Amino acid sequence: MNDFHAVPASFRDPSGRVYEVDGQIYRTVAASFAPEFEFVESTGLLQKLIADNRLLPFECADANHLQALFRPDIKYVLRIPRLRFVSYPYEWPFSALKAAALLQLDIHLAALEFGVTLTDATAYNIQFQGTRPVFIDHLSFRRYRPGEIWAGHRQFCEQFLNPLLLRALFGVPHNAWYRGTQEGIKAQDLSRFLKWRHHLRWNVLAHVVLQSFFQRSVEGDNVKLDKKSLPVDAFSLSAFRRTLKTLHSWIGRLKPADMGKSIWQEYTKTHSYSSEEVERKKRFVSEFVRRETPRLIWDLGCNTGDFCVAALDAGAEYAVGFDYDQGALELAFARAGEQSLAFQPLFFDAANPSPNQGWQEQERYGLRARASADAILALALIHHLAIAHNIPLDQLLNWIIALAPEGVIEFVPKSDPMAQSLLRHRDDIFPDYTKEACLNYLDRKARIIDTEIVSSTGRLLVSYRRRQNN
Amino acid sequence: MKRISTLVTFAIPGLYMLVFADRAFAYMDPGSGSMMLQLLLGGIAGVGVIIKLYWKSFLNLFRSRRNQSESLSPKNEIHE
Repeated sequence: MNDFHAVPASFRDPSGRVYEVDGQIYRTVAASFAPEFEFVESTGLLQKLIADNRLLPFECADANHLQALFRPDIKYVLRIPRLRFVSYPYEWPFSALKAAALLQLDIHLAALEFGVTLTDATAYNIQFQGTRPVFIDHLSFRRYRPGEIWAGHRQFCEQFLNPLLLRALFGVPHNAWYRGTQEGIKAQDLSRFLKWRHHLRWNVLAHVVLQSFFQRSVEGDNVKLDKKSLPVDAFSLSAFRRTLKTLHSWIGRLKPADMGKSIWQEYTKTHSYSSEEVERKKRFVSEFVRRETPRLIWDLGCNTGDFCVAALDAGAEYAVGFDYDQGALELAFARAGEQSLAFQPLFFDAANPSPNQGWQEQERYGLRARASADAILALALIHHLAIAHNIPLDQLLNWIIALAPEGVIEFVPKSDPMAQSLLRHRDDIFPDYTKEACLNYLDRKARIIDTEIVSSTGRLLVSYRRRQNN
Repeated sequence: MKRISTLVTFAIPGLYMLVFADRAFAYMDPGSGSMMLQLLLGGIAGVGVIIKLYWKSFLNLFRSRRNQSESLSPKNEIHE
């Protein structure tokens, strides 16, 4: 055994822990929770969800072999497949968060059919395979007790519903707020933004306004909610199902309020460069992928995913695309879903990527800590960071080269119309932003494999392989 | 107040049983606001409980206003 460690995010629920042992992922089941797990397994729910591709598959590992590694109060050890890429709800575009919310509700409705309920409703229990959400926590399930309330309702509202409503009602993306709190958006916070017209919608009134009002009442000591207040069977199974179905139907209809034509959508459709240029770029990327055979691609600045698709067509197995334009991401997500592509579009700001954060700054990994790509695509990206964000070219190239052993970078010269538009209202304080400087720096850190001028304005594509000592 | 209280008590079978008594494997707090909302969504019995919970603070609203108006009357003012 070379490596053994507990996954830092796995500490809240005492029913089990997630460990990584020699690159394999294991989930332990505590002896105290084993009877619940055995009950849930006996119902056939987990097998059904796995067969429907809604739950990550698992197999019971040889406990004798592994038991010694874990605490003695462990009853079972489950081996679960490693995900291509772990993403977080603050990186998901609206449609991804919506798909995850619907999966959470679908699974809970299915569970109730089997006499099972869920202990929580955290969005971090869902991951994506392309644009398909999959539930990953096998210990969220336990026996349903007649009359009990939905324990995860508040968490569902904070981590799914309220962030979706922020965009659907106000056109404000959830990502920055969600990344700040990590646990989503509280009903008390969202309700402060609501206008009277929003109160006319029953679902908003109930799940945001009333929930927030009740919470404030208890916190403000206006109402004493104690053991004598609450009947055990006030929330019947039919009320439970009705609540889940109502939320499912409502969330299924939510759309971003700001889905007009964004700058980037315009950019893709009208192209400031010719389609011949796009074809050249696609060809360059395809040749790179065929030659170097990377399996996992990261596309920084993926827009609607043209080059991810080119890479997948050329043999890459999985592509994670990053972009900061919410409109482009929605188009990318829809395209990947319609064509069942192994392509996962995510929100990110290259000038401020996801950091390590949460408890002990280890609970959620930053982008660099998750850098597992075989190759990077950074097309039409670096001029935005260098000119719009003043990031020095050498730092920028260093960052990209550090993310993966090889890749393709596009250098857009200052003479290009896109670079000119970035310089339109400001002084040119970038004497070092030149093609020669870019190639010199790349050459120091990486071996340049191929170059091609792809436009009449001098846009240059460079494929490279990182040098061993970097 | 007493009538509502009586109604609630008789309308809900098992009122004496408590949600808090059954917290096996609830590793997180469901949140008071969410619990009360679910009572409301649960139907007539839960609505009765909510009314009962707020009845006292509803009455206190009038009491505090009356007390406030009494305390503001000139005879209660303290002059140093």
